[in-house]
Amino acid sequence: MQIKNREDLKKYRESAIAGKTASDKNIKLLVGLGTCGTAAGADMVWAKLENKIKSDKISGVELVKVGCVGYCYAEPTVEVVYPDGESVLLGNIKEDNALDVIELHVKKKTNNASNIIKTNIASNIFKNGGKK
Amino acid sequence: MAQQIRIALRNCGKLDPEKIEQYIAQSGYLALEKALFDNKPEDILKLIIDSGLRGRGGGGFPTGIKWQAAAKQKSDEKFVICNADEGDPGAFMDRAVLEGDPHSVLEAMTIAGYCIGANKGIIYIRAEYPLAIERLNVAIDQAYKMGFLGKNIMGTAFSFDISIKLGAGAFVCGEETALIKSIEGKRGEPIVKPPFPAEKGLWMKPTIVNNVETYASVCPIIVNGLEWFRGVGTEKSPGTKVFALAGKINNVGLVEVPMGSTLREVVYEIGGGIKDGKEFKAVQTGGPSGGCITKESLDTPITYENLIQIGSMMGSGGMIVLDEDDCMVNIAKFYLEFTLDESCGKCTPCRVGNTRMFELLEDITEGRGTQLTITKLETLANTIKKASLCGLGQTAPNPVLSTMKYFKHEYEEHINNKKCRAKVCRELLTFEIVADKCVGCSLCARNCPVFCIHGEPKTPFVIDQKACIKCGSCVEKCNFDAITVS
Ligand SMILES: Cc1cc2nc3c(=O)[nH]c(=O)nc-3n(C[C@H](O)[C@H](O)[C@H](O)COP(=O)(O)O)c2cc1C
Ligand code: SF4
Ligand code: SF4
Ligand code: SF4
Repeated sequence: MQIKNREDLKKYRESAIAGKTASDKNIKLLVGLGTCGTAAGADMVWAKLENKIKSDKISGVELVKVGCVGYCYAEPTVEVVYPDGESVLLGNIKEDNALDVIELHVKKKTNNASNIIKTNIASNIFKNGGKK
Repeated sequence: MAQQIRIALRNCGKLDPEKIEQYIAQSGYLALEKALFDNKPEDILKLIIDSGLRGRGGGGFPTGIKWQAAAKQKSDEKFVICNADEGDPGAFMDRAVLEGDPHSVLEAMTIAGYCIGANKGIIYIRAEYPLAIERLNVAIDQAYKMGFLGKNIMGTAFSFDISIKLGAGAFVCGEETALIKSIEGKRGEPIVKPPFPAEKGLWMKPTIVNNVETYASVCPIIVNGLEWFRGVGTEKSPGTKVFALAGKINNVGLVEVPMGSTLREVVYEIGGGIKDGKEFKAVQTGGPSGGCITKESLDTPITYENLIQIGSMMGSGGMIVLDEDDCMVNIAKFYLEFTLDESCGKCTPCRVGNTRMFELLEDITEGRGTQLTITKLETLANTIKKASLCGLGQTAPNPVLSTMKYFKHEYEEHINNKKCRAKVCRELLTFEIVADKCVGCSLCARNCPVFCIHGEPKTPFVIDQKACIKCGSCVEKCNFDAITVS
């Protein structure tokens, strides 16, 4: 879509926010796929998660490719964001324990798994939460 | 507990960098909208000046003042350059921003263009960052398709183009005048300032050069206002700084903290402390242009001024943590070797002076140092600092000066006692077999490359010290811990 005036942008932003709100109803798995994550094997983790979600027909889960989160010592990382806004950041997710993400954090909400680095990382810095 | 506040990294790890709709849903292009529809260029310029935002690429020059200097120039053409050369060893802040949130840089460059009256933007990025380049290309494409770049942006009278220029990864090309030469297709050699790029830059036209992280900090200031921004950090250094933590630290990675946080907070609270419970020795900031910060300064608030005062500098944000196993003379030598390799060779103090300094350091680490070596190093360092043309040469002696200031005793031990306490400088080490522990298995002797270990089987072996080349392979081989290094 080509934005030709302010009205267009406003509409586009509304639909983008609506899209986000809709997708926020899913459990999101943010996989760190920057250079550092990829070097540590994050794309293998991604593939593993993608296959599992497909093969088990797990609904309400969305994989999101994101950049470096900064926790390079624990790459690859996956952050699980729940519909209620809570989140856990998981570190050292390799091919062999990738499915734990689904078992422990998608099917259940385990808050004391050993791979958890941090919980509930604050996200939006914008005062108005992205609205005008 | 120290808190990270993410301004430049606000979207990194939060959204898909290849989906513009996710960026827009997170207040993306809201700053550009406000700038173009609600403000005149002067208004935005004033906002950036008043916000106190300072360059995150090293020098800490006030961004708004730089933009104003370029805005004042009358010219048919002006340029906005993003410096994504990122040549500091161990630094990857800019790469993370470009890979994780490319639109934040494009949007800010466009706003900068609007402020100074430029219609062209160029991102100078090293070819070693293929993923960042790919994501930038995707983002630029999207921005053109949606009308955030190109002719008559969002139907306004303002037009702005952005293109990418690949660099070959020379450290000196991160220096703004060398960078401009490189974009012009010439050798990446610095030139004398003034004139500053803001007056005569690319193709002799007014040009602003800013760092990736500087641009990444611009949009939130416009959206949230300057009180918000000034509420983070300190009076003279508002906002946040991204640091790349590396070296002997548990949590290697990127952190973004308010300016004025202390090193202790960064290293111990966020960085998780020193690896393997070893003892903290120093942190090198400012890369090859900076210096080390010692234990005594762990509680000094990190600001541009404070770091300079203790003989280091902010630099672009690389923080290398050193522990008891690091030899400070060797660290100084490492950085000097780097600058030596990267010197463009245009001026003598830097080209020849740094080579001589490197040789003097080698003398010290290899046991030939005397008091005179120290005096020579000091004289040379000061001459090089004063007489070099660009920042590379002017700052090259800093790691040496700073380690000499804070770790003089280590230099003296190397010179007077021929000892390296960190056991790094091999030439100064002595390998000895402890007779009580040696069972006479001869394994070490068979593996010594110069056959300088002698003895009869089942009796203690002895190392011929004169012939030993200190390779260390005997220590690795011995199964009985019978060989000591001192
Ligand atoms: C040897 C040398 C290397 C430099 N490398 C970089 C670099 O990689 N990235 C960068 O942004 N600035 C680098 N700079 C600083 C630039 O010259 C310039 O000051 C900076 O890009 C300005 O942006 P800022 O005001 O946003 O920090 C370097 C300077 C010198 C002397
Ligand atoms: S100081 Fe060094 S890098 Fe800078 S112009 Fe002179 S020789 Fe080149
Ligand atoms: S350090 Fe190397 S050269 Fe010296 S004794 Fe051991 S193996 Fe031989
Ligand atoms: S390897 Fe160790 S035990 Fe064997 S001869 Fe050498 S010093 Fe002695």
